[in-house]
Amino acid sequence: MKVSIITAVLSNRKYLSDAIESVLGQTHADIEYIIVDGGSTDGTIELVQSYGDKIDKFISEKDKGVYYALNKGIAMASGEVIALLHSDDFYVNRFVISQVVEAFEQQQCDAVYSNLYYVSNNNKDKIIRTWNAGIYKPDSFYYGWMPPHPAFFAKREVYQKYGAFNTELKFAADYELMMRFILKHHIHICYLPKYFIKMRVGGASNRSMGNRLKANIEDRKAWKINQMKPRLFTLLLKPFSKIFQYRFN
Amino acid sequence: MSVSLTCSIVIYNHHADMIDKVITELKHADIVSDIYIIDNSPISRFDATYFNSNKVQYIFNNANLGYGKAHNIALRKTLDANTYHIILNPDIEVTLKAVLTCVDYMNQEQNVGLLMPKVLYPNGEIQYLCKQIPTPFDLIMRRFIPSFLKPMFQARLDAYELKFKDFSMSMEIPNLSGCYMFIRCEALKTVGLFDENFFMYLEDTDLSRRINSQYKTMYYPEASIIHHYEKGSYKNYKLLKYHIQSAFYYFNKWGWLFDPTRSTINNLLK
Repeated sequence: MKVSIITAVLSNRKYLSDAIESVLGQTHADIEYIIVDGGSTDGTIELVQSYGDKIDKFISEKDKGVYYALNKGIAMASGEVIALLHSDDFYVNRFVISQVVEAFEQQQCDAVYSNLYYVSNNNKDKIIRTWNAGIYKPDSFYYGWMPPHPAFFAKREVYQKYGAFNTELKFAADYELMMRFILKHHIHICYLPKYFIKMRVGGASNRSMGNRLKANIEDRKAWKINQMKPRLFTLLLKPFSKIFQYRFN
Repeated sequence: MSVSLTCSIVIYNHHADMIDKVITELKHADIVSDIYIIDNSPISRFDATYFNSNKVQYIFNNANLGYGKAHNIALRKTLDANTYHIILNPDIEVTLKAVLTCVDYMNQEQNVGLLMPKVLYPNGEIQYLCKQIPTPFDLIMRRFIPSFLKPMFQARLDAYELKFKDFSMSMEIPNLSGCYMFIRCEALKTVGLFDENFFMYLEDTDLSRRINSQYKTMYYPEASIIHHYEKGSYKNYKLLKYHIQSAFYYFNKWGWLFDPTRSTINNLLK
């Protein structure tokens, strides 16, 4: 089963090599690695080029943001499964993709999701908190639930059928996409209760109260785009529901 | 594929002939490169020459370091250059055939980080060593509930030991016993060694969970071993003390009542 892994990057030379090394080390044989650069100026491009043809597809051009870049990557992908790995993040070991593929082979699913670790910016071995996604129930989305986006592996045909990221949204495009796939179109998802990804802390939506507010407005928009209505408390619960999925160490 | 295999046994006042019984088949096997006997006893009663094998390395600590810390001495020596390592109790009987069956399976199933075979009593009965992830209630109930009240909790006890599962099938289990842990060394390099804050007991649950969080941890009944089950802490108050201390440390580390990973994984086992 061929897996396409897509990384979108903009001037992130410092951390990108961790992502690249963790992809190139994967034991699964059939991997296509795509890097979409948004016009970096800090040596990121040279870094990617130094890996030569180990990176299967590489483009670099100015774009309007990370979700534009990811959509470009998805359009270029030829694998049966699509994995998105942010340039700050990396896989915890060499057997992540092979475990995901095993889940796809053993169960009938359109997407597989798992957990992730948040690690310190300065020390990638230091786990700051964990995000345990948990089992999906039909009303999970109404309680503010969402799977961790980097740990969401979906079949390419799902993207073809239901579309890629909605670039009207700046922060919540991942939320909107997973809601559209899972809640609106009822794709069949399988949960693998493993921690597969390490994510450096400081996500785009949680940095400040102002951003949290913007994210909340976008979360609302995500429901609207899909012509669905959140319950009264859904969006209030969304940032809090993470607290219940987290464990602080 | 060339693989190498080492194993370690931690002993405390055990007799040399008992240890020799555990390793009798392993020390002649080509695939086994080193056998570490780590001695936590107050006095050393024998040395490596007793075992007539250049594979045996005897390490006398001159202090009781605890179970996990003693195994870590062996693991630190062997981890980098080695494919597999077996953590063995001194009360195990294992055949070379069983070990080779594990090796074949682990060679084939690369996603598996930890394996436990079928474990039998000397009389051939099965030992239920595949467990759920414990809650404080499970541990208290198992140890302290008087026998006349046990029937009331039998269902819960059985569920904790997953007795409803079919033990002739291989399956993924989050909490595997430390009496025989067949480990992929690479997995330990990512999740770390035994947590040395556990003196004795529950260090196996802790390690098993950590491997399970990133790799598959499998019960594999095609291989079987014999375990002379001691359950020491049910007879000896000092061991009971260690057990309680470990339980406190374990739940402080993973969460007493609030442990989301535990509830998710235990739910999936049902």
